[in-house]
Amino acid sequence: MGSLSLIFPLAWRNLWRNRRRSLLTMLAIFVAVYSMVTMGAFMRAWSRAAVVETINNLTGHGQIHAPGYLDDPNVDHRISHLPSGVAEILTRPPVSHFARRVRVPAMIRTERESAPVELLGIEPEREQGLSFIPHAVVDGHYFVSADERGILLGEQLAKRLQTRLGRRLVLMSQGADGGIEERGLRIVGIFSSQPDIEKYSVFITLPQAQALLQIGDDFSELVYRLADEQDSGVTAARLAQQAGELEVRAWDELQPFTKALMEMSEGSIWIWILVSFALVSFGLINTLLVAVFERMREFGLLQALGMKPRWLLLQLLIESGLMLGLATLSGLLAGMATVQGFDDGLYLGVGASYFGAAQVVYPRLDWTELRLIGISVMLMGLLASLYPAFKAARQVPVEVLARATN
Amino acid sequence: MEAGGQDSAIVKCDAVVKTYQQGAIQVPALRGISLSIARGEFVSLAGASGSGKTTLLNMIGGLDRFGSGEVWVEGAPLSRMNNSELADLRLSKIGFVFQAYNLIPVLSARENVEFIMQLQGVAQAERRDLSRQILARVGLAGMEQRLPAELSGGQQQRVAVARALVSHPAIILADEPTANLDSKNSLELLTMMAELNLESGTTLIVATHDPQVIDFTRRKLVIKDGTVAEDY
Repeated sequence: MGSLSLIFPLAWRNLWRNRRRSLLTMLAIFVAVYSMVTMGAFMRAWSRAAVVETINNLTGHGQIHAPGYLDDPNVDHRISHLPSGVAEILTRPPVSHFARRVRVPAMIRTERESAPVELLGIEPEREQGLSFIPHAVVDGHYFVSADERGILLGEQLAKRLQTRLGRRLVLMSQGADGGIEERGLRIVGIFSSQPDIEKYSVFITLPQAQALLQIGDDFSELVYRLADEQDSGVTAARLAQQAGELEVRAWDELQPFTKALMEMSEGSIWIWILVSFALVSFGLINTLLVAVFERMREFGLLQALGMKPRWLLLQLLIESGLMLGLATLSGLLAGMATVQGFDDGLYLGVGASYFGAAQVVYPRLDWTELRLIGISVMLMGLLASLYPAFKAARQVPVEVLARATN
Repeated sequence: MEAGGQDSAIVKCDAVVKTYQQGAIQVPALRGISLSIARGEFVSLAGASGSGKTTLLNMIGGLDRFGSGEVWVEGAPLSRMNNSELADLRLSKIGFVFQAYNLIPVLSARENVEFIMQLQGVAQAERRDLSRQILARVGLAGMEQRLPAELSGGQQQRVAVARALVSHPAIILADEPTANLDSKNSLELLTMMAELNLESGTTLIVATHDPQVIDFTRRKLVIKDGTVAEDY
């Protein structure tokens, strides 16, 4: 279209005619786009960190339990053997790690205090790469052998029990025969983790736990981890087909709060994006309407000189497109730079642990989302510009020119 | 009315009626005007403010729609044209000079003059050449790059006249072109328009109530209460 060479420069110059107004509108679009990019990246990083934290802690990507254990996690609900189909799936990709655990309620007592705890009997080697505990010991050491006689306590629990590394304590729990079993253990390690785990979880080796509870080779749960979290649903379904009466649950079923947090975070991002879209649209409509009303005489003149209404419409859409394009591009680039600036992680503080998230989150750019934001803002903005542009194009030239001179 | 397209008249009006609605009141602006203007004439539409002269000029220029009657420009009936066709007619056959707000503020004097040629698709080199010539002709050589805000009122009107003339339209419609000018500038502008009328044979129709302008035109149509009161 030959007239584009006329309309484009005209649109560009008109954009800078009222520099302050154009810049303010562009600033609003910039802020909206910038916040969409950064909010999206940081909120997702936060919810992602919560998921990773959940999976890393003790949940894994999925678990297998005896029937009834999830409703009443005690020593009566335990697994005696795994079906061969389950064992076969666990040894092949996408499963990368798995381990058995005893996990029952217990009491712990020192010479000064006592406290209810959750006792976890673990396979020390197999927990490597599966959960946080092998790397969480801050004082003392992690279990060095599969049946080491000792106990790991969280920092907060140790403080509450007024005990420390190297001291002895008594662990009590209900055994398989219904009687209370107890055993004296030395504290071999103090670990640091999320507040709930630090306060209520204690770790001994699996053989020690099985011996304490007198359950032979039985265990409470089997935890597995996958190479890719995306496979968790499918893998859980495959395991369930082979598990017979055993109950198989993916991480999002085991931790509905984290799942809800993730969904809420995703929902918040979209609400924010919608609010930003609305702000951009109303800001743009307002700016263009004011500009159109201010320039009515000029539009009358342009039409009197022979400019067709559709060219006028195009000119205003190009003006709007230039404003949107510049602001959107700047917003995207600034947002990308900000997110990239936190490539090494953003420290949220200890408080983040109370919400189930990691203290450090790692925002990442989602190229699909960036494209979506860019294209959507441009389209929504142009759509919002149609009304003022149509208003200008439909103006009868004489109404703005002749009226003043008759 | 076949005659509209067949005789020597470049503009012909037949029983043109235009009524404006102002709230609940209907205000008649043109009460069945009929007239004929031949090619190359220099005509003034004279009359007091509110007489209907500007309304008539707008009807001839296709800037507004009339209620009944017909207007022909070079034989083409305007009532049958849509807005886009009217824009084409203005682009190809009619040049306008308004009382004020004649120029596009973001374009320089040269770009304002070139605007219509650009809409018409004239090549850049030819546009440059013609705009330089016409701006020199109206006494604005060396001011080509100035924006309208950097020109005086008289200079702005000269640019508007240059723009109206540069594409050699069949008709130039001017609405109170000297209203915002002092007498010296008015005289210069009128002299220039009269010379261009003689040189190029362009039909000039000027709506005015300024006696100095009326004296300059060769034919005077006095508009009163929406009708032609005198034609001499």
